[in-house]
Amino acid sequence: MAKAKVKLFGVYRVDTHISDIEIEAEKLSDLLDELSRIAVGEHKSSISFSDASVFINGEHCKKKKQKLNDGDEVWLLSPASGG
Amino acid sequence: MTEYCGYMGRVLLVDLTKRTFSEFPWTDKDRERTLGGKIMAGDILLHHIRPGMKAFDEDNWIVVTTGPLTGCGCPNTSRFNISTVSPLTDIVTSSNCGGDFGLSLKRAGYDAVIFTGRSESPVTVHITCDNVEFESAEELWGLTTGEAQEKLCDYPGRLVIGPAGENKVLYACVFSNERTAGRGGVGAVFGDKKLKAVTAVGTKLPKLANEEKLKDLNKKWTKLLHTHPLTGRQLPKLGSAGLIAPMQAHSILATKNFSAGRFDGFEKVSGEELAENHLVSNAACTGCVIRCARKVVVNGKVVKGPELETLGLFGPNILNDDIEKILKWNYELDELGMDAISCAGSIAFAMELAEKGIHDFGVHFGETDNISQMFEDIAYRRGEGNDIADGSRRMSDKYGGKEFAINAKGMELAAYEPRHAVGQGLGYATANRGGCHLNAGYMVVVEGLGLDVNSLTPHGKAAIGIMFQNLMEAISAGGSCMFTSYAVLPGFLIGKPNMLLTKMVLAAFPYVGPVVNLLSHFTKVPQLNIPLLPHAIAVKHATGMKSNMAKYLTWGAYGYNCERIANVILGQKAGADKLPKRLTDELQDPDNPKTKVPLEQMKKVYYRARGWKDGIPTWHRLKTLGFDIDKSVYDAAVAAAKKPD
Amino acid sequence: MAFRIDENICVGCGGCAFTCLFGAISAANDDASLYAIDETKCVECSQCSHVCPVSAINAPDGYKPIKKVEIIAEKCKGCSLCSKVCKAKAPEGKIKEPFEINQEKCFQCGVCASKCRFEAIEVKY
Repeated sequence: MAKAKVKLFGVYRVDTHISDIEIEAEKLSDLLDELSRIAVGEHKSSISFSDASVFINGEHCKKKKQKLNDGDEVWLLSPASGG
Repeated sequence: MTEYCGYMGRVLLVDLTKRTFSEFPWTDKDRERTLGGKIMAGDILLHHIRPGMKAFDEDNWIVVTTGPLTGCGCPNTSRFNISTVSPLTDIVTSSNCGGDFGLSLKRAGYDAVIFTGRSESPVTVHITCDNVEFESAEELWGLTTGEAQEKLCDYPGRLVIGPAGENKVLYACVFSNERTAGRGGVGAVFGDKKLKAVTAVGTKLPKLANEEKLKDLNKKWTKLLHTHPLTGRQLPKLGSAGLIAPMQAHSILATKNFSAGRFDGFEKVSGEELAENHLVSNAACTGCVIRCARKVVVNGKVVKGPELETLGLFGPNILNDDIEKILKWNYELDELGMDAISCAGSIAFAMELAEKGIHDFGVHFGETDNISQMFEDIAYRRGEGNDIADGSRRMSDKYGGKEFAINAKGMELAAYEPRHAVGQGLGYATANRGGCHLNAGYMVVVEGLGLDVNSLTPHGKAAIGIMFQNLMEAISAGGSCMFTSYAVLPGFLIGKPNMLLTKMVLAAFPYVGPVVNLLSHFTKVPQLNIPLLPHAIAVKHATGMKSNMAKYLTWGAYGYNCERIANVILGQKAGADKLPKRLTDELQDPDNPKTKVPLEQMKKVYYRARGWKDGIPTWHRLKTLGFDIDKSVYDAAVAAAKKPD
Repeated sequence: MAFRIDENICVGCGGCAFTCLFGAISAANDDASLYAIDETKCVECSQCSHVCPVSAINAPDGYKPIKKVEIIAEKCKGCSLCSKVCKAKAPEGKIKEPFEINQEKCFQCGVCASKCRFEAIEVKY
């Protein structure tokens, strides 16, 4: 089990009021399941791999079952636009 | 007069020299060709300008235009446009604004107002249904935009300039309520004409061609905006400021005068920080159902908060991580009446010139204590502020450093660092008014922020860029806010970036080029409508004018070519679509050879698809699009454009 | 009698408040995400419902839109009160002579007819 530092951004952060949280998980999909369990807020159901834009240690992660290492920094972002 | 609904049917021409007014001829054929807004203004300017006309010439026109949908109950559709020859770029600039002036102008019975000449002394022009009055603005001259609007608060529609416009700072802007026609220095042209303010008030409303169908469409359109992940969730909760974190993730957050794409302190100046610790409430333009604007507290007063551009360019781009400073600076810039983007870009350039020992303007990366003072110096053209007031291009003419004077065609770039989103880079270079991210086609929304098309490949970017450029041109011309264009990207693709279907669509994106090109050549073919693009049908139900997706893209193509050929006539050279060498020649990531903008390669594809040679529309393309200009004028302009500098 | 904004449908766009010439509409909460009509000020001109994007504004029961407002010349004393109360300055004329309503300007709110002391203004539905 790896201890990952998770940062939430976008609507995930505003809805759950969580900005930083440490989660122990073997792979990304487990981490997201655990996060969904902990998070409260109107978009609890959206913290799944298909909905979020995920970055691990600054790199875009496209693999749902990505294995995690101790100290990995995992970012969850929601799609954005503006001007 | 007009047979159509939606339009008020009259265009006002105001002569500031003679202090007279008359009706400017504008026919239904003109409306069918240009729709309204910036395309209408571009067309009017195209037929008025002469080669070499400059912003501060007495016969430069200020053209304020509205769209036919404004005042018809469509959501997010009360934006208006100001076009003129820009003092910053010496070509046409069209500047968009979400304030109430456009709505009020239509209520006074006009679709547009043109200002010509120059007033002898500061003047306020009052427009009503019956009359146009010229009132001395001596008492308003010198006031900030807020103070001037306070004095004019009885008028529902107002345009004002601040000290920056009065002193002809080349990127001075025009204010209407809390919104601004920000870019290209339109405020300086007002200042040159001594036009301190314009007011509009009236009691009329546009007629509707098919009220029942339009009301039904508007309800569906509002629902679409509310259920879309971008317009229904992200923008209301975080504002445009919510882009800071995704830009950091995708390495497109301009940092230290565009020398990097990521900034360690980004969280401190992010949309999340703003929403959680500084937001008092949301605010909105009139008629908006998204309501993305931020209200914050500065010096104990509730004022408008910063948009993404101000946060990015006065944050990472000058190595500042103190958001409270940015809230204060945003308010100061609003009061002085200056474009935050160009001001920040010019200051960042000044900082790098100082760092390199070329010239010390007194501003340095990471130092924040004297920025407010520099704003004053710029607005009043004092000391070193006088040079910075002319923008980064003129500063680089004087001091050198062209490779890192981050502007395109003389107008400073927005906060998206294009070396990690090369399509945006193509957009910046080809955008008619200069370094504008929206006129560019706002490619970043497909290159990582909203969708996630491969941001480093040049493939397909030209075709997608052209389609978005044309689409956004028409959406703006109708009177709608650009944010309504994001609903064109299907919500289910945006909301589920890692779903298999989404991945397949994104993988195919770079290869849709030929299809998009086909669509733009055979504009009569797609006589269909996409429910995701209500704008086209709204035009039909509001005005009675023939309108569908194909017509919409044709209007956009006309508009884009219109400003382009006008610019060539004004003196724009072939090969003007450039970016500073830092962005095309230096790698953002030394380990990744793809992290620079392969501009020349993409331009070849872009020009072919546009029907342009070296950035100039061919005569054949102009004729196909329905232009009627003098061939001799065209030939002379093209010959001049091809002559080396 | 007044128009009413359905608070379950209103999306807070503010178009109605901007449009109302009688000052009858204002924000109903702190962040202006909901609007409400002041019954005492509403004259039922219906301009607000013209600009609502979600059809949230309802006319009162039995409401009939006014199609035309005309001055009956024989009854008009030329007192100009109608012109003074009209937001659009639609009634035109000289004092002590019969006024006439400029139909290009009139938006059929009916306020002049309700104020006329000589019953000289006719409202047609």
